[in-house]
Amino acid sequence: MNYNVQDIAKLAHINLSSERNEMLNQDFGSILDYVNTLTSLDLQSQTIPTYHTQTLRPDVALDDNPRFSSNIKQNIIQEMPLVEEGYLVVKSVLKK
Amino acid sequence: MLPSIEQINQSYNNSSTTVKKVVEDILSTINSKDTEINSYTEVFNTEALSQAEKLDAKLARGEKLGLLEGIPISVKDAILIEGHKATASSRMLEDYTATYDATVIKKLKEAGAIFLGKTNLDEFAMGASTENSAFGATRNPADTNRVPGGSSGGSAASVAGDMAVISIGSDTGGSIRQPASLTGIVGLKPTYGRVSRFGLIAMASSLDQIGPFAHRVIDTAHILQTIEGRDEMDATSAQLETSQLLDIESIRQANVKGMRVGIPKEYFIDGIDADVRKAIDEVIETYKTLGVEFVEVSLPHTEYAVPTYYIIMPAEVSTNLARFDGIRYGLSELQNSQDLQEVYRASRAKGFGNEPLRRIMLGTYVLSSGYYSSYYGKAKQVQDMIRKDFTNVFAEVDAIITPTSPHTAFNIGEKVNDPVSMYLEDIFTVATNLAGIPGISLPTLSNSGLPIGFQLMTNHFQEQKLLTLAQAIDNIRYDKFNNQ
Repeated sequence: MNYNVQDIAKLAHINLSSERNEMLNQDFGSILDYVNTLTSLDLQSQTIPTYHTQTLRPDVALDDNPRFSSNIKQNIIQEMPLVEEGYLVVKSVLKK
Repeated sequence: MLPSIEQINQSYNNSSTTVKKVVEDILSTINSKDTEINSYTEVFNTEALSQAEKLDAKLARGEKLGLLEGIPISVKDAILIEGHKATASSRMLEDYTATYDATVIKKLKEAGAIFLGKTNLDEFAMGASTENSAFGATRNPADTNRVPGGSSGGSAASVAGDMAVISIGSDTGGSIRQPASLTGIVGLKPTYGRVSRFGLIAMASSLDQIGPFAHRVIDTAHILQTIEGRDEMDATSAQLETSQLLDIESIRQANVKGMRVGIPKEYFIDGIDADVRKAIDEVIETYKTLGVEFVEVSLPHTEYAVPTYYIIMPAEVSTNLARFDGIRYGLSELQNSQDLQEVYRASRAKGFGNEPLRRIMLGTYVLSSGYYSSYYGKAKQVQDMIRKDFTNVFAEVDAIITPTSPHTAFNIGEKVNDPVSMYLEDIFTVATNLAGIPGISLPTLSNSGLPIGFQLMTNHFQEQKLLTLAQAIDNIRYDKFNNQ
């Protein structure tokens, strides 16, 4: 069991304070020890099942989905952290 | 205890009370009790009263009200009601307003139910005590020094504390059944897919299921009948066959003679409180007098259920909670960050509490390159073995009986610093979610000390059988304690 919580935090896109780093270092070992009880099972002959087969629906784009109220677009824009002229503002994705 | 749905409906239609009076009384109870209990994150005073007045006007015109019209309901704050906050009890969504109605909400609105407000939960439904909420812990109305269970602890406390007739919660590993048990009410987790999850803030999508809390079993049947069924917005929701539909009158009659119920030996282990064991034994003896036959059965992979759950669930949590990135909605550090990566990292660090953080990290680890097959792959294999255990047993029996929790409600703060001990709270409930089968927790016939619940489970989509069995004990309990 090799892990470094700072590396995992980087993968999970979360900054870790030193307190949280310490907390996770403590908890991770005991949680992983616990879930490792599965290693005692012989799973050689066991396949990985695929459940939850889904009924697919036609993939249709609707401008006015009757499932939502007519002001859904406005409601969603209202929840955005920063908007300019009706568009979501993000930091530049590509570095200069 | 507040009256049942049917009793309230009758009193509206025979004019012995008004909708406004019922709603006002409950709002007044919330006002006086909830400062201490903290079951609600938001109460819809004005809206609830205005809806009540509209229904009273309908009665004044001589019209009758349908069964759910004017029934006061609380809703776990992880389920969206358009125009109201949906916080999931997290700083991440503290200022988020839902932009649409969850399918269950849409259906309950169409049936005329009155929403009283949103109830507290463990942040993003992660916990078994409702202490993980960013808005403070909820207390158990039976003993305010103790937890109400979780994660739907606010929902359970609102019903147990007479601050709602019904509550709608969600159950991923026991989050409806365990709080129902600890607060002394009924909590139903339907078969996976029976109720649409559209508009439920997702925790672990393959395990999450919405269900009701009530004082009486028959009320959970009425609610299930209203909210169940195929929904175009949830690809995993099921089109129910006629044989799977509920027959409420048959549930009411609770004819259980000749039913066979399994007692899984792996669930009756050392570590169960003596009082819990005694209360379950009393239920079993009572069932026997009603003609139910009991047989010992084995679910051999029971001990692996919690470790399996704590791999599959965090894996799905880390995936589902990736959407909270400070870009489109929720808490955002956009304005305080230099670049895009920092927006993600700073927003997520500030928005998530410790338990979501633990699970996101654990999920990220078990899904990471080199570890995927030894954790997630293995857990999915064991999940299949657990599921087959149940299928095998249900070939022999109609239902299974177990305790819901090994003990009664524990003290606030008792387990908060020990994640593994908190995870073990789910010991009797997680297998149901892993197998996708329905489960119900209801109070035993014990009426001294803290509430003790028991759990019944049946095979997929056999809620009719489940509720019929539950109703038999519910009837006896009601006659014994509430009708003297």
